[in-house]
Amino acid sequence: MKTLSVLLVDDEEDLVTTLAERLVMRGIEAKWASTPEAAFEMLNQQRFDVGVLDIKLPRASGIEIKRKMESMAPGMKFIFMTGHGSEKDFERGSAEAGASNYLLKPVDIELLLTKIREMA
Amino acid sequence: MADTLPKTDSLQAKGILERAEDSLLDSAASAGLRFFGRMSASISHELKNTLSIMNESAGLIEDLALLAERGKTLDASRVKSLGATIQRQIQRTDQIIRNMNRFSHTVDEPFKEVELVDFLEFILTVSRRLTAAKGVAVAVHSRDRPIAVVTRPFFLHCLLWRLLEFGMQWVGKAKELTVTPAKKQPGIVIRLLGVETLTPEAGRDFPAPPERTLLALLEAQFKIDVEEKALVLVLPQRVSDGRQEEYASNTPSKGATPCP
Repeated sequence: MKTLSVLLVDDEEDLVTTLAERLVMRGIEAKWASTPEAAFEMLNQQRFDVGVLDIKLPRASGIEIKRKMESMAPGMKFIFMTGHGSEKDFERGSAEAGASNYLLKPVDIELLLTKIREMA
Repeated sequence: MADTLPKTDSLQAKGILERAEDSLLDSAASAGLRFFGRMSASISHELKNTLSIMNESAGLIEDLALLAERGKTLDASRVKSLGATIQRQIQRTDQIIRNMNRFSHTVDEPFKEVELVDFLEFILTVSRRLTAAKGVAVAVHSRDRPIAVVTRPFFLHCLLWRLLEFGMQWVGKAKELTVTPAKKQPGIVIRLLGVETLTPEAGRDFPAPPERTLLALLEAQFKIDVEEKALVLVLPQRVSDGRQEEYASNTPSKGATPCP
């Protein structure tokens, strides 16, 4: 079975490193970036099946990052994470990623894993 | 002209001023509610982040324990570092909740003496997530400290946030804004510096009606200084409390001086 590769992007470094470590333990090749610039740099060097993005990052929204990543890596799939959970955010996020690919923080690791496998 | 109004005229004048103040407060309340909602949403987002970090750290400790049960050596240093991460996040959460509590209590007293430099630093702390989202760093620099003002704390917070939001639209390449409060008798002058891209057009839509209402309530004046690249707010050292003393006694206004 092919090893799935995931790029996690969130400005909370303690969150993204731990989440990556837990995904690796579950057989996913997970890398992380805490800034949009670092994420684009990694995407230049490697192909990822799925991007897991915080919807609000300093200087750029997850939606903007997703658009740029799509142009850099056509075919890459995306899951949004958010701490907001407001109706407005949900509508925006679900329109961009599909309601089923939009997760509220704190994220359930097993649910995230299921969604990664479904999408890839 | 008489120095004092006859008692009946004075009471009528007081009533008119009270109604005017009620009307101003009603207008400010809707701006205040939107502001309160915005800040609360930002604070809840920060709390969700700290909870998420604690959730993942606890989850990873559980994962490591499960692996240890299956015979893998437990990495004690990793468990220790995850414990430290959780403790850091608990402290961070505690600070966020303290700030949230302090922010919530700004509505308790319509008038209050505040130390302005401390108050401005608090405003920046509460707003940090929102300013960081725009990639802008904001700091308070003051040579004068303490600066005591008697004001309407909630509405002042609301107005200062609106000025910050406006200022962020005109921030320079450095993406840094500086708030500089200073005593300038008989009032206080707060300058927002770093708005390097200001143009004369900046004043076309600002201050808008909500800001004008807040300025009136706070007896403050505002000026966009395109030459100096600054937003200038002038506050009185003591905002009038119409219900208690100022209007009835017919004393001269203690309002703000004109913008310098």
